[in-house]
Amino acid sequence: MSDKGNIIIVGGGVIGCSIAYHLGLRGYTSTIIEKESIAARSSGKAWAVIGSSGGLRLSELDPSENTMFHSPQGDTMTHWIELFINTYIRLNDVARDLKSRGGMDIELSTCPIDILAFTDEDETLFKNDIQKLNDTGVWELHWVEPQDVHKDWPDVAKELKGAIRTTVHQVEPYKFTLGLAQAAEKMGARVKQGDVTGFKTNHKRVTGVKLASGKEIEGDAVVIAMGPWSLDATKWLGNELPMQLVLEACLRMEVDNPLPPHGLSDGKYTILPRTGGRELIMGSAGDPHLMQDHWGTALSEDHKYEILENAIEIAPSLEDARLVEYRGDLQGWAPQPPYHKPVMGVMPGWENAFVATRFGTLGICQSLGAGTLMADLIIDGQPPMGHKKLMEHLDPANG
Amino acid sequence: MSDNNILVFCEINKGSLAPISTEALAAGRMLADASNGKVISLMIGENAGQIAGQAIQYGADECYITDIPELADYQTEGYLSVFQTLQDSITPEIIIMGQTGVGRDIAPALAAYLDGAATLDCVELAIDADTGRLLMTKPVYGGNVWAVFETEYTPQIVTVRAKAFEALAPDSSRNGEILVLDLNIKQDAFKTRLIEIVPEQVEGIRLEDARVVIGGGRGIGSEEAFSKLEEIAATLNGTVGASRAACDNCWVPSTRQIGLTGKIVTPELYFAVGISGASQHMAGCSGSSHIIAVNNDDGAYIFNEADYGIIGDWEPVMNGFMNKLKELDVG
Repeated sequence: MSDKGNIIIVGGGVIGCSIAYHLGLRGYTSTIIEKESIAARSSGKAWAVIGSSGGLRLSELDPSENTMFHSPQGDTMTHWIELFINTYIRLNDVARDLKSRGGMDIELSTCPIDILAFTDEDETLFKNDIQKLNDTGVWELHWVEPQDVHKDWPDVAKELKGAIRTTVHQVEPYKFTLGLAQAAEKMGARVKQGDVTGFKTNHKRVTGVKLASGKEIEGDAVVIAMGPWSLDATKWLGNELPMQLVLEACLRMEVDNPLPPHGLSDGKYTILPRTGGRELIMGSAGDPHLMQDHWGTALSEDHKYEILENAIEIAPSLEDARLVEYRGDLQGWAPQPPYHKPVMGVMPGWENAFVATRFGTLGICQSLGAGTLMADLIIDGQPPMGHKKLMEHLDPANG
Repeated sequence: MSDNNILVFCEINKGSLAPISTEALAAGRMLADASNGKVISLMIGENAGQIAGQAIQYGADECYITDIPELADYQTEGYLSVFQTLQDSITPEIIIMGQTGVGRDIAPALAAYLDGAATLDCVELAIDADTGRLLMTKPVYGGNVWAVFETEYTPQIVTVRAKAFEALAPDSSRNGEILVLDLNIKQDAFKTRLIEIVPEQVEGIRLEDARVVIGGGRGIGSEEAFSKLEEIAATLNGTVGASRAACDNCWVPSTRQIGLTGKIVTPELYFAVGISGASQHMAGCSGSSHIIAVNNDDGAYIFNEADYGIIGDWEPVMNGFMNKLKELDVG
């Protein structure tokens, strides 16, 4: 973009706010248009664990294994691991900036987590993961023996083979997203409430957005960052992106006796201590059986008990924990779950319409990486140096 | 079939009939008139004898009372046995009480006890003309939808939300019988026992009780700005609330949060200042009698909900308002 005009970002979730923040850092102003309020949906309800690819599934780096992080085309997260790395390594700095610039304490904390191996196959696979992830030079992982895990969590099943111990960051997701928006505002961005129902176009350019109220807002570029609702917006531009909606949820629990200073995960269900060990988050990785349509936003009691039961199965001592909050919302996934692949780039056939969506259950983990790359792409008209291949891979033209 | 008796459970608050009970009586009166029924009230506690007359003035036809010392304070099992005793003689079709701490506790227990059904937090009540059953309207899905319920169980027990019904003007010419219940209650039989009552420490007016609430949102911008809202609230004898964003910015303590994850307020006047009006927030304030919104975003959703909307920066608007209050010598 030649001038520093107004960039319209549709969607006030973590991706939209991160793009606004990064545009602001480069001196560009944007207008976030949000239907509800900042972080009203998934971004405010996530369990917000930021680590090596979410800190939870590590075997995704092995393309032979069919996990949630592989697309049917045989992609693996290796292709966009930079989004995670960028977010992970900048989190401390950004937390400080959001505090000084946006006045928001995002409650950043760090905690070790053990990813438990219960079979010999797990053990082999995990040890392989440790090697690969340590080779990135970003994360520090090591293998721990069952007695190391049992020292803190004596009630974890005795047939344990060992675990990967790594470190994850946690943030308060609502505050993180709001902090990005507020810091962006301090750099000239505006947050406006409105229900975008279509685009104003002129040949290959989008000139603005139409709101349900009948009003129109003009802009020099438009970014679709509407999470699962991006599906509608890509339709308006004649290029419907494949998208599947999945419901994800977590439980915030409270305990009387402080928890051990590290979390546990069996790959699918995860327990993480928070704020002084008196609180914990229990979450489950997104599940295809929780596939939803746009209206299926109701959290189910069944899913709540499923998370609860499975988390307690990992650590039976949590049976007395009290439920403080059961939260979750819709996320956009690449079809068909359990596959996961974000989409970022220029909308095919348009000069100034961009999209950044389908981050699935890992939007917060990729938000800073996605925000900075999108800001560069919008401003410079091309991906930043060294990221061409990554952006090609996630380009909307490639599904 | 009983004689369409409607039992209204009345609570005593500081030696007087609780306001919410006057509203429950109004609801009972309305239903009784629609079904040729009778409003019977029940009052438990100290000085119930002296206050019973108020229940008659507010619409009851009869008032049963008990002031035995064993039930001076609320006790679930004790209260249940009072209802049980009463049930034997009056067999109510409908039991109405306020959506209060006591109401929320006793209504479901009573439903289990009497094989009835409890519907909590009703905002509208009516009699189905065809079936004669009670139609109970209550907010669901975080206040986004109102749903109408009907139950096949009797008694039909409901709690009513504060200010959902307007109390009748007290009519001292109304006559009604006041009956003292003959009870034999032994505290030793109770599984629970009251050890101590610890009053909640609140500074100023409780959010839930305030007649005027000024809610501040992210648009307010700072902790200092909130003190201005507090000043205006104090002038109007009201109090200050906040949206989640304002609380998460630490401008106000989270005890001030209004909305789905905060408090539900039903003041006569709610000022939404710098609040966009997301559904999570509206769930906590949409029961207000009047909403005035001040916001500089003309697209803010709050303007769809507000009775009066002012598009503009909050500070000059609220300063102007404060000056006008001073001019009119309010407060």
